[in-house]
Amino acid sequence: MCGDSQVVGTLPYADVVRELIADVLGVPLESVHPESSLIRDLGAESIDFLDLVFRIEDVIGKRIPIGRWERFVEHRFPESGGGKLITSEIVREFAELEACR
Amino acid sequence: MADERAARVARMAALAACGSPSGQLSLSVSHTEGSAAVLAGAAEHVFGVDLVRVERVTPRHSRAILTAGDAEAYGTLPSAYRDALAWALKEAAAKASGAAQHFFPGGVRLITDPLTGWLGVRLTDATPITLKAAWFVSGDLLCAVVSEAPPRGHAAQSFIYVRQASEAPVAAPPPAGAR
Repeated sequence: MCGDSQVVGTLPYADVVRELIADVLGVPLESVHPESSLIRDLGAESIDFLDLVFRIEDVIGKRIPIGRWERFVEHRFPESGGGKLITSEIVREFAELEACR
Repeated sequence: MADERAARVARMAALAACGSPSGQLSLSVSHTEGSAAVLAGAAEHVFGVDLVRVERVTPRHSRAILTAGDAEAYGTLPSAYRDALAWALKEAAAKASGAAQHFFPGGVRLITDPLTGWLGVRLTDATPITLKAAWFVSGDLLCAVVSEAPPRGHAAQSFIYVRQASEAPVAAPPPAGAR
């Protein structure tokens, strides 16, 4: 699941993450694009991001420590309000990072 | 979206309720499921609001955001909505800080005075800030407010709650806790 391999089972991480996002946010899969803002475009609320972390834990089979997602977002978007810039692609990046720890 | 409409109505009502203040105003806004809550006050005043559906927050969510330092205060929260209140207080405090990603969840501590029953939150940073907590429950939604005392000479905060955008905004003083 790390290095050159970017799949979970038989699916690429990107596809798995899209499905997780669609399921957690209750939106059609076809509305989740790599550049879709989870907050602006898909209506995500803060608790939805924790649910995504839970689902990623289930997928990668590891517990993600408290605050790890927030540290990741803070590092990626140091400016205040950067959470609105979180896209499906960003979530995929986080999932792969956690899988490879 | 319904949330944004409700937030717009609440913002306008909160600003109108503040009248013509002498200094700059700041707003804390939260919206969910078509409802919104807004707290307006002096810009140099630290405050925050969060709105959450009670059923949305489960014990698993609580376990993910609470630390050992929160345990005493968490144990004093009303059991019917303990998890939702813990979540909303931490969210409101993180928003109040102006650096939510930095403080949520580990940089916010739930605190209590067991003798008086006082409940608050502390932003644990180089210079800790302690904020008083208050909340109310409306139907299936819980609203939490955290704030420090308004600066001297400034008007009290203006709090507005909009259940649905089509309903009239409810203007109320900062809500009282269940004590």
